[in-house]
Amino acid sequence: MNLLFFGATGRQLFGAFHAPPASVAARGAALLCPPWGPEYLVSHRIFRRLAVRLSESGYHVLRFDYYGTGDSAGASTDGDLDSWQSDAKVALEELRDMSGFSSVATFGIRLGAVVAWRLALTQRNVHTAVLWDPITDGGRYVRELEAAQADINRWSLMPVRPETGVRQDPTLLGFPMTSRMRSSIEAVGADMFSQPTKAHVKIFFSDANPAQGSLHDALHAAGTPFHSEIIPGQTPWRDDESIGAGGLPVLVLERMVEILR
Amino acid sequence: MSQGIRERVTQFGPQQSLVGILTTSKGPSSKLPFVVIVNAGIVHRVGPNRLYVDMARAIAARGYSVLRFDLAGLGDSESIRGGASLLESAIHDVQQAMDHLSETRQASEFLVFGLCSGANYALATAFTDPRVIGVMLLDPTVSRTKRSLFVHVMRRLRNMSTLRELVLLRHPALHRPLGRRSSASRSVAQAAEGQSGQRAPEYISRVGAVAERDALQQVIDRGVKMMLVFTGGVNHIYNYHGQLFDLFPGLDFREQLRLQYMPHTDHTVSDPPSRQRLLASVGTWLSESFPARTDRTVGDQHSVASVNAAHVSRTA
Repeated sequence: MNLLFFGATGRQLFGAFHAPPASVAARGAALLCPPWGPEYLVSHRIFRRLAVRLSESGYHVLRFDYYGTGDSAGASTDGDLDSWQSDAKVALEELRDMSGFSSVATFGIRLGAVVAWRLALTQRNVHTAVLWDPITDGGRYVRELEAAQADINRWSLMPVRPETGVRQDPTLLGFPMTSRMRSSIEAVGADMFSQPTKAHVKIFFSDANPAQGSLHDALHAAGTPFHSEIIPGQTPWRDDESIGAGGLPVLVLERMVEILR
Repeated sequence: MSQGIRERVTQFGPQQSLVGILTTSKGPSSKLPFVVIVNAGIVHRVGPNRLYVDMARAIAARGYSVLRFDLAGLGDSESIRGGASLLESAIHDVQQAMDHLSETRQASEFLVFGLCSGANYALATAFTDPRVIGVMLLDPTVSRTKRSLFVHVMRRLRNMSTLRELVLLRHPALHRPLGRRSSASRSVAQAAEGQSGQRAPEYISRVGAVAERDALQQVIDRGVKMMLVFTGGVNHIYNYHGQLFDLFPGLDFREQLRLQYMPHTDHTVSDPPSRQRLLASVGTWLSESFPARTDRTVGDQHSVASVNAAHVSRTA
């Protein structure tokens, strides 16, 4: 594992590059696109494990943090879905450079799946997009975060007092959501998946999800071949008893590695 | 990256297995103690809601070098197999971090920061290693007092949600088997017991104020300065301003304590105004307690001229 900062001066991104062991023939390269906010925190272990398993199977893997998230430069209020996609494009070029592979697979969880999908739409050098519990209705996603926050507030004996006379962005499950961030996320809809791509599309759901039908319809409408399956297991982004870092859904990870072999 | 600071990846320990980010000032180096920040729970080195990133950058902007790193088995650090308890392993890892900074940066004095279990580990390291001259503990594990239990029950009974759920017989407490502890209580106990199944030293398990008091007194007697912050996130345990003094009656803090009570923020200080206030007060505490070497008496660990007696503040 090679940990590094990369990207433009003033917009340094943190990355962790996993190369295949010397005894394993390199078979490709994969970029892991993280989700946002609380889901970023709980998916860190998952991405690290996935990166290790993929590299053991012959992939060069780069996981990274968007600007304003994780170890990357920037404040948590910086960025929106568009800038995260731009950061992912920078990471994709870094991965191509480090791995020597001209074409890569993109992986994404939740909002990261939206980023991975957008890369597959806009970048000709993405051959596969793997989407895990993708967000297909941004408005609903934000409302779910708000509902979870409201539930916390409802039980809190010492609620956070808003600053009087100061306009501030709401904090959802511990992360500030700016209006710019919010509008970019709310713009995500199933229709986004009705644009054609030449990349192979593989979709994983952790449970039967109402998003599945609309997503499949959109892909069918565009004539995009895809593989979709449900792998029941832990969904750390929905755990009831959050401890700040989620469980490890081993079955899903192993299936992802298997399907890319 | 913020102006005036630099962030670098650093790896150290056996087979370079421990991973961290060293945040330093771009300004001229001054002889200040180094800060080491310890994981909260199993959240990796960025800290809950990125608290540690914000903390490291704010402190580095004041000239202090900060290492936030992953304990073995967390984040990007490798697991180390062995029979050590979680506590023993954590202390060992923080010591490895200090060794690394000593070898590569000529650091000799350290401040250890942490939230929750990270605070417990920070205090335990200060108890163990004389190189630690200060700790900043955010919501460390402490015991209830009779008064805090009373305050909690009264607040809970006044909470409309609690009342409604009790009346409708839907309150979780009504459906929990007798004798079963809450998940939070279980996790604290499990963390304290460690991997080896042995109980952790009493000062970080929840066996009572007396044992904690002895450990604290030893750390204070060694001259370690401490900033303790309690948030509304632990209001079921710590819920009034001077609870610390009720917990440890007669404990002589020797003017080495700064206590801050922030009842109207959560455990991870996630709302931006509270976080800014926390970062500012930590910065002030650092500047007053650990100024550049030229401004303080080297080796005089009881030099607390700039620290008011048991400085206590209460903020929202």
